[in-house]
Amino acid sequence: MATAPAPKTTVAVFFGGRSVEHDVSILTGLQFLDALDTELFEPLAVYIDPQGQWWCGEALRRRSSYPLSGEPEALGIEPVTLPVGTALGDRPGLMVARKGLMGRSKVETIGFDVAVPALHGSNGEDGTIQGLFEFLRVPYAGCRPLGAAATMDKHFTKRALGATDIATLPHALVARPGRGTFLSEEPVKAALDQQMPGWAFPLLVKPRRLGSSVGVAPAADMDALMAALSKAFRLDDAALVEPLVANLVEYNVAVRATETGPVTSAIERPLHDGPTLDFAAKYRAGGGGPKLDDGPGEGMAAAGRALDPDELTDAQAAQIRRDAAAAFALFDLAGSVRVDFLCNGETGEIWLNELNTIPGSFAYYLWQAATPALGFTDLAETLVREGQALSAGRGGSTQADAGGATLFNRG
Amino acid sequence: MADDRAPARFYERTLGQGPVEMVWLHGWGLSHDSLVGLARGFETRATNRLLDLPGFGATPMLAPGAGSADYAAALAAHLGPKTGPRVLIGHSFGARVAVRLAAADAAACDALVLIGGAGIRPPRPWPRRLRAWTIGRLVKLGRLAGPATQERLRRRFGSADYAQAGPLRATLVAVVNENLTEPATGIDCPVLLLYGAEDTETPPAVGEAYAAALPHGRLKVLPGFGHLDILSRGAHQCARHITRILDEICP
Repeated sequence: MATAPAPKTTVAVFFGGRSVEHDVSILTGLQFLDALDTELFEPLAVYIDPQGQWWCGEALRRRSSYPLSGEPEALGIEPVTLPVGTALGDRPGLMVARKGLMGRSKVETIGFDVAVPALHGSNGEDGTIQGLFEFLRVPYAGCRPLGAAATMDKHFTKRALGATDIATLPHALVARPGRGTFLSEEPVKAALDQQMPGWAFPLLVKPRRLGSSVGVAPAADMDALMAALSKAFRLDDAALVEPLVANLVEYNVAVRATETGPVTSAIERPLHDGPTLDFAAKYRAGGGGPKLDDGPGEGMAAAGRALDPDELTDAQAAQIRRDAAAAFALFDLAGSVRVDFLCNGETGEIWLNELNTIPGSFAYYLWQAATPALGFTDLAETLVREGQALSAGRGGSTQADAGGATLFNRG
Repeated sequence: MADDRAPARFYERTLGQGPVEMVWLHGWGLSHDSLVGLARGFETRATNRLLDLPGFGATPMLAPGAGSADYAAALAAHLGPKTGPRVLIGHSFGARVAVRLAAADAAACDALVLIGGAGIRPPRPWPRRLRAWTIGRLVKLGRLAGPATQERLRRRFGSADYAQAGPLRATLVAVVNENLTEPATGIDCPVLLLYGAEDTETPPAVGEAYAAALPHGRLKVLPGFGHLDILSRGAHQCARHITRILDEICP
């Protein structure tokens, strides 16, 4: 007798978001949806627009639908909400208001089994949506709130790494001047003298909590430093100032958890002309804006790169892999995390720069080139299954009467 | 039509190095470029040979009117005998060539992958059949008005491929009228059939017909993809299915 096929797991992929990386997140989300094995999973697109409205609809799978304009409802795209102040059911669901037969509005539920945040930067990669999912007991893929929030904050990350033997660059944290005061040189110099004694130009300025190289700028002198800080303070309330690495070469590697511990992917050296890999080099490789409906070679996946480059010595590659895996374990991370390193190409010194817990394209191109190779469809399944297991194993019972701390008679 | 000229000089690009030889054959009007994204997923496992088929990209055309069997013969001469496990992957028109080659020589490959593979005409509803018949008659009548008028009618009512075929028009006419059901029945190796559910050029019905004809055909219909974006947006899912075939022939 033939057995009935197992029911498919509905995977809700959240992308877009209130972040400067909104557009890149669309590419990452759609790539993930396309990569899901449709024999096992039912993909569900959940788009968060720049104003924070959530949307569902099959047309969201097409890149040509963005940016949403006019009346999305005409394309079958409906506004949805995730109910917060209601009793928790067995299966999470999004609420949508639809018109019934007599034209009366009725609320329906779009159920799903697991959420995948494909949101880069603020309000998605920083532990906020992960916290919401935890609160609502929604199973989700990727890092838990603590690891996501800790690694989004570059200052906190470097402080934590400072307690290990993982090399990082020195830095100074400069806060945005209070309301009604202007940015001036003296307090900046004082912060640098105190936190980074012996500092010298050139320096690099980066916002404290943004990703994707947004707001990052080099500074060769004090005027440039003040300009770079002004720019960073438009995006964040604090900025890091670091020495600009001479003869800079960047290396990235992805890490994920397995039953036997963290494993690393192929190592990439991004190819770019400028002193640092800025947003344009990452996401607009080839010129112009991102191409539409054009397949896997897009977003971060389309940026030029050398994989496992020849100039990297065995010792350097080992350091990168060891430090990346150690940082992944330190912050108790999950999912596919890309760890970025800076290297002085002449001296060979290497410093861990930052961790990206939801990297562009989920860094599938690094796993695809790993030994053994892991395709994006396999990676997507791995991330979904890992997320389900992590959420299922979370904490203990939170029922009010579970700990014997009841005061009111429940009959 | 046999090609009695010198063997075709195929343009070939190689990606990766591995024990399995994967030969990638593109669709009509395309070149090896259309398959690079998908082939990249196999760089660590296989030696990927991406070819421009004759008349496309940088490979010179065969004799005018050459059919898929001529393409297969030219390809066999170019590839030579296999020295290890070999998989032929053909998209659309490339699938026709792959089917012809595997049917002609059982030792040519260990597995076939047809992506949106052409070669068997899908059943067409009667309005479309009537339209095709009417257009055919109209074009023939156009001959009375002179070659220029006939050409205008062909361009007006013919397919985009037909209008743009240029010197390959005779080949296009030859191959679209071929039915590869019979050759398919003689292919003894595993054949993976990947079709996009939204494909209107080679709809899943073509895959079903192949699956019925092939002794070892396995059909996978991928929801949400069409004839071309199955190679780009659908590449990751295709790669997963192809990997399973590789696991079978080269564990």
